[in-house]
Amino acid sequence: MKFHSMIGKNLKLLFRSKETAFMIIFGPLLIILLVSAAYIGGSNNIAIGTYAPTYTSGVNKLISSFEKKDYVVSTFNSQEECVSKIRRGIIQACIIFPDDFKPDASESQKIIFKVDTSRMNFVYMLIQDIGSELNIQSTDISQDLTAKILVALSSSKKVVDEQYEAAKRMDSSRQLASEKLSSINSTINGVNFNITIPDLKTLKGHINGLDQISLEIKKTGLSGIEEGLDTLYTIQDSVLENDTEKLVDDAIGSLLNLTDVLEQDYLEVPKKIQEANSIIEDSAVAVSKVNDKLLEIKDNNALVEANLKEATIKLDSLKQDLTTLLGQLQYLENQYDGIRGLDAEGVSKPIITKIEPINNANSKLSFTFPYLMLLVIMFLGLMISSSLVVMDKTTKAAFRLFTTATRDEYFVAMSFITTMLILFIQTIVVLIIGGLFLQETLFNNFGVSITILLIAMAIFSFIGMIIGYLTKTQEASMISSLTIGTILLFISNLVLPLETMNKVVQGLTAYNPFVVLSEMLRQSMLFSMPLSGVYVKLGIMFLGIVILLLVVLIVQKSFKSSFFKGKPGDLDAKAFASVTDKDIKPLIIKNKEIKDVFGLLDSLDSLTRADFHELIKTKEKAVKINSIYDWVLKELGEKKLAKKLKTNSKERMILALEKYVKKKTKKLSKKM
Amino acid sequence: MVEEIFSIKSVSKNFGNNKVLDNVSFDVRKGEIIGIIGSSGAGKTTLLNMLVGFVKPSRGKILFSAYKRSTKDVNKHFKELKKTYNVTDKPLSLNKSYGFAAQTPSFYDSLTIKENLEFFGNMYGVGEKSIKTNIEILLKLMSLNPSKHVLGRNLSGGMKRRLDIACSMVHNPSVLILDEPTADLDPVLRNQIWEIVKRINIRGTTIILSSHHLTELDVLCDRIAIIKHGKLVDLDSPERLKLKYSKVQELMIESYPGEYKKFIPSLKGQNITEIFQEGTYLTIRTGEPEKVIKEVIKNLEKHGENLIDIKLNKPNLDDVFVEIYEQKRKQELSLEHKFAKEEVKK
Repeated sequence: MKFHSMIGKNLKLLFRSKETAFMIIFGPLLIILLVSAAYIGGSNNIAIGTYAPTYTSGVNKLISSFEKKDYVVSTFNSQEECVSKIRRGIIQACIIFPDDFKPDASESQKIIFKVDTSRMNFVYMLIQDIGSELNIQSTDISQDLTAKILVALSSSKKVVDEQYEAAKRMDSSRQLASEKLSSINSTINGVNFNITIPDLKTLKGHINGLDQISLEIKKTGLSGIEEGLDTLYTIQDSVLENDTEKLVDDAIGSLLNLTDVLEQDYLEVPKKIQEANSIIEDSAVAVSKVNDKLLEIKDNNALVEANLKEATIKLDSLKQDLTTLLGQLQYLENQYDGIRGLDAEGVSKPIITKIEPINNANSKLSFTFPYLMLLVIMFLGLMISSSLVVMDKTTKAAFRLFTTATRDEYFVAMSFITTMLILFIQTIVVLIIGGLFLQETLFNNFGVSITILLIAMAIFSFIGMIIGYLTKTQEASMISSLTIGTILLFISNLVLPLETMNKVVQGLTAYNPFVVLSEMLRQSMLFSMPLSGVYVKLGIMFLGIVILLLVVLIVQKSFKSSFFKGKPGDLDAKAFASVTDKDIKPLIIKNKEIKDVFGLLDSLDSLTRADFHELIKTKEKAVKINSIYDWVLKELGEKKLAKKLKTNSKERMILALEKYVKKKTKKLSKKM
Repeated sequence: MVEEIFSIKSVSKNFGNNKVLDNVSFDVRKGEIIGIIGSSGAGKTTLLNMLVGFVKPSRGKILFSAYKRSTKDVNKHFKELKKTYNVTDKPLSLNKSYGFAAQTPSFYDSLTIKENLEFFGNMYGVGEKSIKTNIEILLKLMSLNPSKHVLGRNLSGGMKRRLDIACSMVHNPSVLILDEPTADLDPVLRNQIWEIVKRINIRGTTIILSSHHLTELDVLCDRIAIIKHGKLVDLDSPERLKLKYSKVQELMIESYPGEYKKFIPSLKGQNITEIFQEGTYLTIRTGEPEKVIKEVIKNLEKHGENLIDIKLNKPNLDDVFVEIYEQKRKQELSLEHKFAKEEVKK
């Protein structure tokens, strides 16, 4: 019963207070809705300014491309005007174009961005967005230029190919010429111009000797023929057989015939020798002429040989040049082959980056959702629990609440359970809304995710409760919660990457529950990290919960013990006197010196009406003289109190003084 | 036989160098209404807070005898003596035995009357059935039934005070402590509260209360404790206190044309303590009012004054209070005179 009643009371208090109800019910929903709306299908409508000395077609093209991207573009007549608009927050960035800006100009052109870096996140987005737009155009220009270069290269390649073939042909011609020259050279070298012309007289003598030789041949032949005839006659005489006789007769006849021929030929020899001699004489004349010609040729041949040698050297040199040319042409060929198949985009933008998510997230909201979820839990946890505690502390029911027969721990437990209950419901609602927006399930690793979320709820609830017990007003608790939440948020990945922060802050993040829990939640929701992957961190967080619980109990006890000290009536007169006992002119009431409110109250209590009316004089119901009012105003300087003492009723005066004393005492007790 | 609920034994309380309570000893009897009066800062609230353990005494002890009803019905009287606690030990069960209504009403503004009562009933550990019964009775008793579904913040001052007392009573305590329950209330509302206090007391609840409205306490309380500068000056029934401290009665006369100065000197010699004109009235304080009345009437006729009104104010607690608080001043003054005379003699 006590449990239900306490939870019910807490919920009623929270929901019947418009501010907290709004914060609890609509706060997280509003955050999620706004963030969802912001991340999904967002538009720009960001104002940017441009300045160009001349608004060329290139500038206008860029401006229209910005306008297409929902940027509100204003043009300015000077840089200063443009920059001053940034300072005044009218525009968010200023783009300064160079003079005569032409995107397709051959020389590079500088576009300057003027931004307000105090709006850091915005600036990054803007630079990325506008920069990417300019990059696209720059890339287009690059591609055009590259395409032109590639076309030129391609044409050059054709020429080189042709030249290569021609060079090859030249080389083979050169080779042929070289061979021919070589052949000519060897031929020429092979020619022996040293002709030894035989002595024609000796030849004539030899030919004349032929007559003798022919006589001898005639004599030898005739003697041989006679010997043969003798032999044959012998044979004819000795062997007379028919057949052999016939044969011998034939041989004798032939020999006799041969003798005739010899005789006849021998008769012809001198005639022939005569003719030969005459021919030899003619030949000698001709040979002499030839020899002269050859000598002339020999002389010319040396010149030819020298020229041939020079031609050979030249051809060798040509060969080397042709080899080099061919090598270079081959190299060019290879190079062309290397760039064959390249397109302009590939050349102008050789590296194409593509970021592929390793998770299934399909929108910005998906990957920020764990952080967002934890952000909601953190702020809600801190604010709800601190609010609940402060509510219990500062409510006028606090006195009764703390004097009931309920253990202190019970109050802690109930505040905690109430916060957890609200947070749990909110978490479910946020998850459902998140699921609707993201159109993907966030419940893949629900067990681990919900464990992490529950731990987060517990941690932030306890931190909120500590804040609640340490602060004295609802406003202070809210501000403290927001401050602590903001600090935790600031030293986390959500604002700036942790890696960009200094090492001290990075070290602190190890103790930042928001960082630890959001990382765990991210791993669980986006990468379906099993419990085994996060159990060490979970253990640490559990330890944190235990420590926080102990701290909560300690601060609660401390608060409780100080609570009754501050109750009205526990007047520390000394402390009170230290505030009121100034160097003041005393008020004299019935011969008694009054120096402070306390004494005044005491005296008024015991004052008779007659005595009282000596101090307060009225005429026709209007107060004419009020010594107490004058004294309080002038001597004590308590304007508010003096105003309340503007009465002719002793009771009202006592009442006002009592209230003042109580208020003052309460303040003092709290200070102590 | 007189049974004590509280036994306060030589209790002192210091805050720093300031002694708020100085050796206070008295008993609170079962079933009585005891009023504690004193000037602001006299230590009344401190004493009440000490009775229930909110403030620890610097010296002395407070014993509390817990009684409980034979049934949990608030209509039934207390019968059985349960246990005696030392209040300074702050036993949790002590909280069930008393109800405390502080100067500022203590309940939730955002809960209705009924919700407040249910909630505090649960906090005191009262069973569901008993809470229902008690709430019904308390709503009737406090005349809050028609407004039981009204939020605390929307109640009038008197209703808030009644709700606060009801919350103090929801667990049916044997003692109800009311610290200035009628502060800031108009006379009509004050009467309502006193009426309720009486009704509660009739059912056997011991009531300890403090108030500045002494005349009302005069009618209501069985006994009154007077605290002055942390000391218990007296504790007795109102009648006995009046007898003890205020022997002077106040005679108020109104006549026309009201030129009282003409005959005031002729009243000299009468047993008159004080005489002064307050508005159209002549106020005379005397220990022998009958004798003074005769003399005054005689003088009025003599000086041509037509008697319009004559009142005799019998002494009340205010007078007792003034008397007690004036005593010290008188003592101081007489001492001053004594020292002055001695110095003159020297």
